[in-house]
Amino acid sequence: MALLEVRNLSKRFGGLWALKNVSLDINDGEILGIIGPNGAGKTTLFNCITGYYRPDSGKVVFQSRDITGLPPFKIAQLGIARTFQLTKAFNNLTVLDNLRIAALSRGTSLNEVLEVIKLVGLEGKRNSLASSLTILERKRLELARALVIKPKLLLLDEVMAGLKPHEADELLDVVLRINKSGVTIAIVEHVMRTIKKVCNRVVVLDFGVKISEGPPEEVIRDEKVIKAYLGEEFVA
Amino acid sequence: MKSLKLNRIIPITLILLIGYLIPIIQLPPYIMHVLILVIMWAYLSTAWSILGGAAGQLSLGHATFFGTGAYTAYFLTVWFGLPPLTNLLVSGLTASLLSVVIGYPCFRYGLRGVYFTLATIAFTEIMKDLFIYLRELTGGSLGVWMPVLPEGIITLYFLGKEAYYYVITTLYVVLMIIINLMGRFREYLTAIREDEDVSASIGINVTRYKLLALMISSFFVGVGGAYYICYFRYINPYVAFGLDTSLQMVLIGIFGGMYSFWGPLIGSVILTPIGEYLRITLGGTYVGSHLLIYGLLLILIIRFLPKGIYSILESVYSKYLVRGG
Amino acid sequence: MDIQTFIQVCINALLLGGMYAVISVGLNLIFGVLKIINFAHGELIMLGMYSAYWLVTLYNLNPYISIPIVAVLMFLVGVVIERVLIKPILKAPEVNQLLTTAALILVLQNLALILWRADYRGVSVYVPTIILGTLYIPGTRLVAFVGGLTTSLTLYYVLMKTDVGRRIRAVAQDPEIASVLGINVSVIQTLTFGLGALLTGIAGTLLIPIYMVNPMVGGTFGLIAWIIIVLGGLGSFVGALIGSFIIGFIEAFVGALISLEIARVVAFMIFIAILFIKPTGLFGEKVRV
Repeated sequence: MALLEVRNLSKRFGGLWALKNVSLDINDGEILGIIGPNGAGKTTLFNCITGYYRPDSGKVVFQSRDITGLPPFKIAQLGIARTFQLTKAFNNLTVLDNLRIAALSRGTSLNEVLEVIKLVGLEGKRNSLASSLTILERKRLELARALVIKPKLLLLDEVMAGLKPHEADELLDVVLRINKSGVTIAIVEHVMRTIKKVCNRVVVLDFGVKISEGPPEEVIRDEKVIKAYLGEEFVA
Repeated sequence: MKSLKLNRIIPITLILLIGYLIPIIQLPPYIMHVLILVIMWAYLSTAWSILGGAAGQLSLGHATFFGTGAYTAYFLTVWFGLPPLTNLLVSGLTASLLSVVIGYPCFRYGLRGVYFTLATIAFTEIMKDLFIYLRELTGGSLGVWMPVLPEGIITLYFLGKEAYYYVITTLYVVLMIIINLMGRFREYLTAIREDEDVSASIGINVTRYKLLALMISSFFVGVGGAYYICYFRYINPYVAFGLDTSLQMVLIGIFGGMYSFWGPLIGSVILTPIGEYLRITLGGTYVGSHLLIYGLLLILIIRFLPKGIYSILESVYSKYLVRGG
Repeated sequence: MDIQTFIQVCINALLLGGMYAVISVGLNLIFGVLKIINFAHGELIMLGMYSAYWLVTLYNLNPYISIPIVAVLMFLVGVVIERVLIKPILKAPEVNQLLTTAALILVLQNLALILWRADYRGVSVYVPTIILGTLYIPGTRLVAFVGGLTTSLTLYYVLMKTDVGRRIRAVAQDPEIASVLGINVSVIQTLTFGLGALLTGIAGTLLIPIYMVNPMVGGTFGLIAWIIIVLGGLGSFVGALIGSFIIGFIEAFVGALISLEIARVVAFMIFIAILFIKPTGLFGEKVRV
């Protein structure tokens, strides 16, 4: 039984199918990459899993429990955390306060929060206002916030976007550390380098349909995948 | 935000003591009246700020609950002969119930920002029009008068002002104590105010907490309305459900500092006496001049000191804190 | 309801719709371009009504002649308000904007109260009532209807076909791109607010022969304007027009079937229902909330 099972998920916006009959598993402990050209439905998939969208058909099962259509706060309580494509935070609060509130709702202790701050590398910025952070620091905060609620599964939505290569590498290290601490991760990405570096497995979406699945090296060489990306630059 | 983490028990107790002791000095009835108004508006504004400040949901329609409380107290006293003292509680509960009826669909349907504010205004207008229309029941636009009752705490009818002052001060202290006890709840409200999506993503049931904030806020405002009619002995739909009433609750909180515990009190201590003074001196020839000043002050505060007077105190305090530390 | 009454009510509805059109179209314009929620729109209408009243009373003008004067006057008022009050808070958090325009309500209402007292004032103009069989069309309302529609259509023409209008629409669509294209966004914003106020001036002048004015009437007109543009969709000109007529019909029919006061209540309740079901209204785009 996989940690998360998506079965025949479909989501329509007006006349357009953003997701069509998508099925995939996320296995306990792995880092799964979800890639595909722009508009492939990757973020829609995340939003359906985390309750921001209600799928038109299909289901999402997490730890053997059907979570399809549950509201986002419930899904967070059940153990799935997510980051946002455009980083969001409680801007007028300090980093520590941002995390303390997250800890409150989960019962995480202050010590555990401080550990998380260390894990993501934000120690020096504990008492800084969230609004004063750099992009990289904001992303660290997003990761920290997700961790504080002690998730089993963490969904990262294009978390490398907007980062310079060395910044992305730093953040990747944090992601790997998070995974080692026992959190399963699914990561939506554009950047091939990231995918090749961290993912055990990759799923490829195109126009809302799954077109390929497997270890990164295989998927990259898959004809269908190359065709889907034709005309797009690989950042290999 | 954490720079001013005062232990609130001490200041509250101090205020309580000072507050209760004030009438020992034999003050002229008019000063007592102003004191009552100061505390009453501080109370109403504090109650409003639970939803408007802490939770960040700008309601410009809290008069809905104020008027409901006032008229409920009237109906219970006059139609059913129930004691005004307990009517305070029932009025509060009625207002709270109404708030659920109104608020649940609002929050459930994700009414946010300006749409929420517009809805609150519309609800107040509906109440006002309804109460004017149903004149056999409610006295229409002429309003209703509380009857003369035997004096006493049960009937909340006193000839002197001191007793009324004690009642409103007690209500305010109770409100402050309850707010102070709601520590974790207030943290959630802060989160919701800052960003609802983030709050949901960390497991906070946004709808539930907004609704709770509304229920508590409206309860206390409803009690306030009931108090109002017991003290003033008269109310009409324009006062009960007027935009002025809603705006005054908001203004005082914003002026003093709407995200702070003491803001509404500071705001009321400064503004209410000014308003009353203007009303007596200019009110005859220039009715409404105090509201004009209020409006101008609000505009200035929003523009130049959006966090209210309290923010000045806060920066002074932290300057001394840094220096002294 | 027999057919005669039905037609009469329909006529009332149309007349009402036309009047509401000029009230709401200005509000919609201001929102569309400045993206600001002007709660004090009704109070601007009130000022327009008073302006017309005083011009008529003091100088013995026919109210309809005074339209251009009131229009210019209100335009200037709008410009001043925009520069002094609105421009500084355009980038402020939405809460601050809402509170500022709400405070403006207090300021304008009480200014009027101080200057002109609480008495209701009205003007009477002799405009003959048109009678067709048992149907009767009050002249003043017909003029308001015609005036309202003409104004709205003129505004539409200005927005669509003139250079200024194009600039206004550009800023409404995207201020950043507009400024890159060389449009002075700040001036356009001031101009638009002035224009919105001008429209309330025209509205007020058309309304004063029909409704009495006192400092508090802004509240109802303002709320109706808001209901209409939310119904039609914030930012949609056509929506505001259609919304005006929908509200006109609702008020006329409920007013005829039950009572006028309840008509208002019904309109408000429908407004709230719209907010729940489809806050973007009939033709609206997603609003920055």
